[in-house]
Amino acid sequence: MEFNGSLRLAISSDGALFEPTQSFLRSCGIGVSRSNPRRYIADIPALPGVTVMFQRGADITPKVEEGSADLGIVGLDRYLEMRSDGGDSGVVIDDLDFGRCSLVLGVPDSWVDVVSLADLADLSIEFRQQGRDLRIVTKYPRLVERFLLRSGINLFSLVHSSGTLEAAVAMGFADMIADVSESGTTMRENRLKTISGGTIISSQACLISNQRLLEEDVAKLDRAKTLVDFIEGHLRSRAYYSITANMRGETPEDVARQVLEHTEISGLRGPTIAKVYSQDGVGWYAATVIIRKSRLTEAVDRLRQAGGTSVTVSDLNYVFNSTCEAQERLTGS
Amino acid sequence: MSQLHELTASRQIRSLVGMGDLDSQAWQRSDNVLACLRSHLGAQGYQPIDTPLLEETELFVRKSGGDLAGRLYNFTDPGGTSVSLRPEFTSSVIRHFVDNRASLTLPVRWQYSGPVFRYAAVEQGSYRQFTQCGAELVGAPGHDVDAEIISLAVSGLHQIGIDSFSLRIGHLGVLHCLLDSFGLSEPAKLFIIGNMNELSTGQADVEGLMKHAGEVGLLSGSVDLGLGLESALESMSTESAEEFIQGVLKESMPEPLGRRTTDQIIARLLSKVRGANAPAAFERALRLASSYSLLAGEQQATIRSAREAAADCGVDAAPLDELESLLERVHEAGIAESRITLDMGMARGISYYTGVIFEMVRDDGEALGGGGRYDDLVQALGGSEGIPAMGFAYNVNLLLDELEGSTSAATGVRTDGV
Repeated sequence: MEFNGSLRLAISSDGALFEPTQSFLRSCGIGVSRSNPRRYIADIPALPGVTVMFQRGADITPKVEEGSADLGIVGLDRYLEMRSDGGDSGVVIDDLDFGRCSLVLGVPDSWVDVVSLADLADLSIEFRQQGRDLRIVTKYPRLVERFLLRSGINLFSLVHSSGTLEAAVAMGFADMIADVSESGTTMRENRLKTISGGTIISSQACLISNQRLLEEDVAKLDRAKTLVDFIEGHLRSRAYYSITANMRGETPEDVARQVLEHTEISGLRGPTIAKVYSQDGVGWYAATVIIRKSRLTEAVDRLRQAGGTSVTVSDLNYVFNSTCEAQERLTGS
Repeated sequence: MSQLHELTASRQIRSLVGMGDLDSQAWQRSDNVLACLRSHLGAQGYQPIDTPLLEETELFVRKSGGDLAGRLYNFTDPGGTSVSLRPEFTSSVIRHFVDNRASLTLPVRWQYSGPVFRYAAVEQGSYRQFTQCGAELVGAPGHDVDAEIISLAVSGLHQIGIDSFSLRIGHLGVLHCLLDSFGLSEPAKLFIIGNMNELSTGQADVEGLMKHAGEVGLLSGSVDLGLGLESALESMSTESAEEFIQGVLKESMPEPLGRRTTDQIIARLLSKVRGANAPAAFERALRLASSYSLLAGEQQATIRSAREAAADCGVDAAPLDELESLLERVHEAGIAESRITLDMGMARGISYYTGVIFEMVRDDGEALGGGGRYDDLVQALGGSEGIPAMGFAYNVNLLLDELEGSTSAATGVRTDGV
């Protein structure tokens, strides 16, 4: 059997996370190889013993919870909506840096009197006085209900729908919606607007695990550790550049001193200095440091001030720390 | 092995988080405490009643709101009704009162006990199911009743052998009354009172709340139409703003979408413009609330500071006389001043309270029980007339924890497992 003993990673076969998940795994160096686009099982050539299962986005959380997948990549919004409290699943990495969106309340743009949650609370009472409920259609009834009750909006009824929600208001099926929005364009096109305080949750893709299964199977846990090491190492690397500059100096120590004088360019630990064998025989060294992307221009300026030339900047694929934090979250203990 | 057997062997089913079993000894301890409390309440004329565990959700959200509503165990039953496990008894007791109003002679004194359910992030030692035991006095106003209920709650603790606690007293009516002098709208007052807790814990400050009040449209000039016409409205008097809305705006409004008509939207917009509060008065009210939120301590000194704060804001401090006279009644009922902390910023996370509120607090700040006056609830739950009411409840699980932790082999109840 294909799953025999292998680590099962469930990823999206549809929707907004389908393409981005595969491209993310590719960028982590653990791309998915699918022999046939109609097959729902695939491998990761770089990680033997891992089986990728393509699942509907809505099914990934329940699959991991019930134990028919060990790991899953899913939107945090869907996970929080569908997870069972006290169940076996847990979040290993809460932000995989893609699939960003917000779950927001959307009301008709003709409601010029409604701009905030306080208005909505007030309106829900007005609806009740007229003998009806403020009807809200959503795919996320759990998150929406908790949010509204916590926000002091007590009188409403939720309509659970998995179809296209935006049209529900125009069709008179609901008064307003609570749905995921990436840019707000679809909302506007359907004549809906957001309101102040109406963001229920900001979401992105996350990695989840079945903690109990991984705890019970050492071989699977080991493979899962390798997988999250790749992911965490890659995510961390996105914040950094590697910069190399040629610098004049009598000795490597001399160059190192020049670099270490400026905290902007002293790197994660300190510079790596290597001899450059130049034609003119003068003492040249290549100093390489790892710096935060946000400090690039500062760092280049400093290197120039310290006499640096031919400054090259490269992306990194991985930054591995001495320990991988996410590995500890694979199991509950 | 059969499939079912395999399944049952694979996973042990445990009790839910925040809900525990009682073994025989624990049950006995609990039963002893409950018996003692029931007999104490009974001796003071409080007749036992019981209400269902499950009620229509709206019963608990119509007036309770806020924190408690966010913690309901609610679901749709197989018949399609939205129902909730009760998070407290008071709403059910008042529903019972409204149902049976015709046959009751006022005032009624009732007691109850049983499990309640509140969903919460589980920290160590917190319960999602716990037992409440409490009493409600429906149909009588006044300080005598306030003092009767507070003293009943305090003496019950002594009765079961808990003596080490303080009595924290606050009063929502006083703040309401003081806020009245600023001429604010009802939503504005509720906004301020709803933020007392945030003010006292430093999670919010006056500047931040002013900004927020503007954002939610409580301040005049801040009614945001999302149409870029706000500045035009700002410079108008209320009358011309109304004229403007009725005339120009109505014409230029987007075609209505959904079930609300343009007229309904305009009507609400008008009431919003009319109900908006002058920012200066709102800010003064907020400053008074902010200083009250930090006033807590020995009662004489606290009242003195409260009077000074009111005077600073140019507000008549008469409502504080009421509070002083209530506290006198509480002393007369035999509760020592040294036990009382007067807390002007107190709120209890349940929004139906209208007057005095109180809690019996143990040394670590955890409330063993509490209650207050709620004069509007009967009407809110469908009663034809406003009927004053006051009550309290103990968290029996915390009482048992407290008794188990204490070494005092005190009074009536045996806590040694029998």
